[in-house]
Amino acid sequence: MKAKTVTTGSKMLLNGSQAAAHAVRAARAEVITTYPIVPQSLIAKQLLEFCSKGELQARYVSVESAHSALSTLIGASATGARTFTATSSQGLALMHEMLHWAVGDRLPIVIANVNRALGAPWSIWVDHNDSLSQRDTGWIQFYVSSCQEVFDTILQAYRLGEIVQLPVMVNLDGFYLSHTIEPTILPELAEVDAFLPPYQTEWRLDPQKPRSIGNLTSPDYYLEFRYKIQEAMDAAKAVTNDVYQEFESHFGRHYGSLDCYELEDAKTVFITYATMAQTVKHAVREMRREGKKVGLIRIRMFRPFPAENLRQLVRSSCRYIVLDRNVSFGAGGIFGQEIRAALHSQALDSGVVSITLGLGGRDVSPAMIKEIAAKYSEGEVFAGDHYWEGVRS
Amino acid sequence: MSDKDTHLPPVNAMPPLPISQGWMGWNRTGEWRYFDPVHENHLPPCNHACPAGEDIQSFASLLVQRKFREAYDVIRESNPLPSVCGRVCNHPCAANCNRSELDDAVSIRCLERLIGDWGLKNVKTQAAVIDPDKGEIAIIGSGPAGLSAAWHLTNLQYKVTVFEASPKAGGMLRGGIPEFRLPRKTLDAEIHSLVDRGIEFRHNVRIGQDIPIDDLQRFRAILIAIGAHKPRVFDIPGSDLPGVQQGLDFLAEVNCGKRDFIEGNVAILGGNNTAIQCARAALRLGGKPTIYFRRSANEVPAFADQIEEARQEGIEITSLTAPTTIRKTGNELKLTLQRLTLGKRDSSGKRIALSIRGAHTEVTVSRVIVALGEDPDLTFLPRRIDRESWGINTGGTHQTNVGNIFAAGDCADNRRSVGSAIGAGKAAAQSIDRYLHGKTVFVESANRIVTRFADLNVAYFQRSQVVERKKIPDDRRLTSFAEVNIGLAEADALREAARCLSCGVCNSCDNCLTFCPDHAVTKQNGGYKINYDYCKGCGICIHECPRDAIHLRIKQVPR
Amino acid sequence: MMLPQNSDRAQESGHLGCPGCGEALGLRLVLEIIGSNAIMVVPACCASYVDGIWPSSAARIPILHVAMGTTAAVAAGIRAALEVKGLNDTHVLAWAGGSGAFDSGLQAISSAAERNEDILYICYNNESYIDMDIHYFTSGSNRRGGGAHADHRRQRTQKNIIEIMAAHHIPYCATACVAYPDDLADKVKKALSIPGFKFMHLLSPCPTHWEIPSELSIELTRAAVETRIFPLYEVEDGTKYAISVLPGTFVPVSRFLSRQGRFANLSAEAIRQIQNRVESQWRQLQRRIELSRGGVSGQVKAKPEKQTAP
Ligand SMILES: Cc1cc2nc3c(=O)[nH]c(=O)nc-3n(C[C@H](O)[C@H](O)[C@H](O)COP(=O)(O)OP(=O)(O)OC[C@H]3O[C@@H](n4cnc5c(N)ncnc54)[C@H](O)[C@@H]3O)c2cc1C
Ligand code: SF4
Ligand code: SF4
Repeated sequence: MKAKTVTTGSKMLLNGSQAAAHAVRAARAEVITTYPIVPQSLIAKQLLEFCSKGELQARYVSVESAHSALSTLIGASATGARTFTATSSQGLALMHEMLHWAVGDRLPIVIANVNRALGAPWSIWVDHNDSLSQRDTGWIQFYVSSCQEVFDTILQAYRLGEIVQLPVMVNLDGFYLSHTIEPTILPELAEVDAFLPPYQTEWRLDPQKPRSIGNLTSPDYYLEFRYKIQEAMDAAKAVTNDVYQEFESHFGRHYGSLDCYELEDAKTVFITYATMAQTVKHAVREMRREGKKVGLIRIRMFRPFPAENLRQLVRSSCRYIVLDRNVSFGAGGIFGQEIRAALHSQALDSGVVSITLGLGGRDVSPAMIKEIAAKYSEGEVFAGDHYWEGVRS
Repeated sequence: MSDKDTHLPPVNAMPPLPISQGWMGWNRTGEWRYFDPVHENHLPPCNHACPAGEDIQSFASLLVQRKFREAYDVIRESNPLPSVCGRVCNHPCAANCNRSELDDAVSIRCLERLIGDWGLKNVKTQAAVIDPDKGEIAIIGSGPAGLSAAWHLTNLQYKVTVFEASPKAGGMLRGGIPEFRLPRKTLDAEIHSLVDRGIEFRHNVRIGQDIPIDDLQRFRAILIAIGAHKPRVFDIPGSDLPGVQQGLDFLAEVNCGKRDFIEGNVAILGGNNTAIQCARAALRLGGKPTIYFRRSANEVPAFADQIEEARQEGIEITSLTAPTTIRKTGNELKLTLQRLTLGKRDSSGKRIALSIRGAHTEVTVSRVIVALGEDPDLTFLPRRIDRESWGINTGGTHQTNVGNIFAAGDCADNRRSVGSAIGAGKAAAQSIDRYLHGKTVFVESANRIVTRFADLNVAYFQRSQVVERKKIPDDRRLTSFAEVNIGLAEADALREAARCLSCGVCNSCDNCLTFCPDHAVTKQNGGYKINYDYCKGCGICIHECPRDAIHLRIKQVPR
Repeated sequence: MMLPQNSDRAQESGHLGCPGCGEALGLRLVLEIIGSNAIMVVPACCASYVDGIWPSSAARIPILHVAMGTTAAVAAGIRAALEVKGLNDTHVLAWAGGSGAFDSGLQAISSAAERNEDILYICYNNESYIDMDIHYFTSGSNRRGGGAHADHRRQRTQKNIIEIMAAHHIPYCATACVAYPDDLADKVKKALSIPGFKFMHLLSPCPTHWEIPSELSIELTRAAVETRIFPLYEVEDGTKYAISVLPGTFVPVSRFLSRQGRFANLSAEAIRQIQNRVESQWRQLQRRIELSRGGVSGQVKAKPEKQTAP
């Protein structure tokens, strides 16, 4: 991300949660629901404050569960409102049923999911199994790594979701981002309005035009409706690029679905996402200083998966170390699998190593990254294998 | 891709989300059905029981809507004499009223009386348009049968002439039924409305005496409606003594105003309507009447309400007693009575009354009034006309074996009531009309299905108290010929009319429409229409119709 | 796609309800009162099938079909969206089967009630208790054998949903049934005139599950009221109780139970117990009515029963 000159706005010190809330305010969300869960609660708190002060003209519904938080948004969104909720971990897992529902009804709801490990046992710290478990629901997913990106991506999420008619989940790491203060640029609201017009859709519940949404659908049609979701996902890839461009022209910040660092002559490239990418970036910078040919690809958009973009960057001569703060038990790191699958068709997957680490908030330090680089850059590692790092022996 | 798929829209023609594009109307759920509900009125039991065939349900419902004129017209379609019938009819309608199984029968005669009286006060009957080509009809006798036939034939555009032996029309209504039951004013007014209708009356003409029946040949048809006026023979020792009188003669005198004071006990022999009315009249003239009846108490043939009214007035009925002799001692008569008992059944199933040996009593009376029954006097009729034991035989067709001679009422029928005479008059009119048009004569048929209590869905009916007519106070009742029964006040009558359940007849309560889960019942032209494209045949409308006005039919073969 | 679009009824014929379906009937009766300016939410229940099959619907107001437990939450969302759009005249109707309301939906109902969301929630209860029961039993071979599941389902006492709702102090809750359409209409009208969360428990016959001939749908529903198994009453503000239809005569519970195949295996003893329970519940209800009148004791005087047809 190359921060160009800011056209308008002001810089503030915000944590990721506040950044998210500010984005929702700037997007003029109309119906907001939340059900408290650590570490999402700061978002809820900030939004409540906005609403109670009248800084955001939204109906804030304090529901009794995450499941209802999303259900309520489904009602609101189907009635044509711009909607938002934030959740974490168990909350998101509880929403699962309705995540599918929102997609089936093609409702451009935006959720900020503050990533947190799932129980049992209880953990309040970050990993990404909560949101990655939802990968097949049909939600567009972003993983961000700075407070500014939280803000920006939520705006992009509304724009994108409302064009392709799919819901969007913006994932930010619990505590590492949600509770970490960074300087964040907040643009003028007018500028945001110019980027993000009010939500309008012909597909809504309207007594003037009474129609039933989501009723029984026979095998004659169900397949087609599912196909259309896939089509929308495919379309989202192209639309995302347009949105990035529009965004840049309004706010001067450039985004892609992938973010590359020091790739040119790299022999070993880390592929990762979320805040872990910041740590890796730091480590790569240091390793570069030490003369090591390392690089970084950060994946910002997980669904739809930017496979084509990735294929363009990948070279067969290079080793790729995928760092997954998640695991699909019995298979391996989820990003690792996705990347292998994306590269396999062009036989580019032979140099991909998948590593699970940092679950449940276990610290991933620059030193650890360097160790991993040393350990996996060369030698007897098998591309198909999945490794755990940090497990005490 | 299967054949079927080619009829379905391509993916691009579908909306992005499963949002409906139209309604379920294409889904003809009528195909699920295996029988059809059909709106079809059945016959209310009151209507069925009414010998005149009055559409009671209809006039009751009109009354509720305060449509008096319409109600009056409805009655007069079957009965020209509602004010009379509302007073004297023995109302088998009420005995059959389904409401009686819920609480009390609707007081139908009170409604009829109110409507009739309203009509007499408010309606001037218009003369009928007579079609001279239809020909003239002669009616012999102006009792209810003759009057009814005259009315219906006039309505059918015939010119009608009524020959009546008496100076005034009315038959038994005038000669038999006393004023305290039917004020002459009412009777006269109602008969007058028939005169207004254009019916010609020739009074004081006794056919067979003043004019031979053959002189009536210029009429296209002749209706004999002479009633039954010939008393049965009473022949015991002393039956010819002065002070022994036939009941009909006594009533005839009383009814034309000869009202001499009667002193002492009066013995009435017999149990029919004549006996009861004689007793009631004798009571009012000062006598102390007792009715002596041959058979058991529950076989007294007079109308139940009349027996009841007589009892209320203190008249005793001594059953199982037969007169044997009458003797005269001074100014008094000694009547010897034999006590009887019921023995074995005879061939008709009736138990035979047997004398109890030695059980005699003697009563001292000032008068003996005999009412053993009446038969028609058919002596003036040509011999070739077929007869039955009770009178002229028409086999229920009202046509005698002589083509253009018809008969109706007491002379051809042993039902012996005003209502049946009116019904018979109407049926005879229809027979005559059909006969003159070369069609087979009318036979009363019972082919309409009658709605019985079990056919109703009583969940929709609340219990309510009947509003019955009142009587005048006893002091007046027992000493004068003032009408005993007081009609209902209008408000009471309307309340009473609202009690009618409308058995078998749709009264637009909307239940069928309300309860149809498939919206297959709609209102149309004041009625209801079932849309068989969608009716699934659940049967709820049939079951929830409070009044049995929807029925189940085998499903029609689809279009 | 051209489909018939030519009627102005509340509910179109051609829906997929079984012959004699009380749900379809109840919905039509309710929609006729509510009118066209309304949005409806339907969770998984018979109504989600009865409404019809895509691309068609039988209802003449927009419906959002949703997952089982979410009805009240979704309805709240619709209300929220209408509010921000200033469309406060539009009614929001939640129309859920017994299971959607009694079971998984209860949590969301409770929350929406607590927040006093301006919606009318009608639980049409066909007593299949979860519609799975129907599918399970009618397709199963041991139909009358009644496994553990059957016994458990059938012998437990239905929870008193109105008491649960009254305990939320919502402005209005009431029972109603399709056999007394005037009473139903009155209650719907009343509910619509009150802002906030309104709950109605609507007894809807189901010939299929009740195992009755379809034409008896209404009669047996009426019997539920006449036996006092399902009294018709209302509760305002969680405290003011009133009977709305007092049956003319109280009939024994067997009148309701014995004609239904689903109760065929009830023993005489079981029926006696039910009778006792119904009577004690009735006394409790009377007590509540007295209490809500300030504790004056005395016989319940109901409004005179409405007569549908004279
Ligand atoms: C005392 C008494 C009380 C009754 N009370 C009741 C009662 O309360 N309710 C009830 O329903 N029924 C009652 N009835 C029976 C009822 O009156 C008769 O059944 C009914 O009047 C028969 O009608 P009709 O037209 O056949 O004959 P009628 O009423 O007898 O009329 C026959 C007419 O024909 C005339 N006539 C006879 N011969 C000739 C002729 N040759 N030429 C010209 N005219 C002739 C007669 O003068 C008479 O006017 C009573 C009968 C009697 C006798
Ligand atoms: S309730 Fe009415 S229609 Fe039915 S029998 Fe009685 S009077 Fe006739
Ligand atoms: S239910 Fe009512 S409206 Fe329908 S047929 Fe019967 S009486 Fe007529």
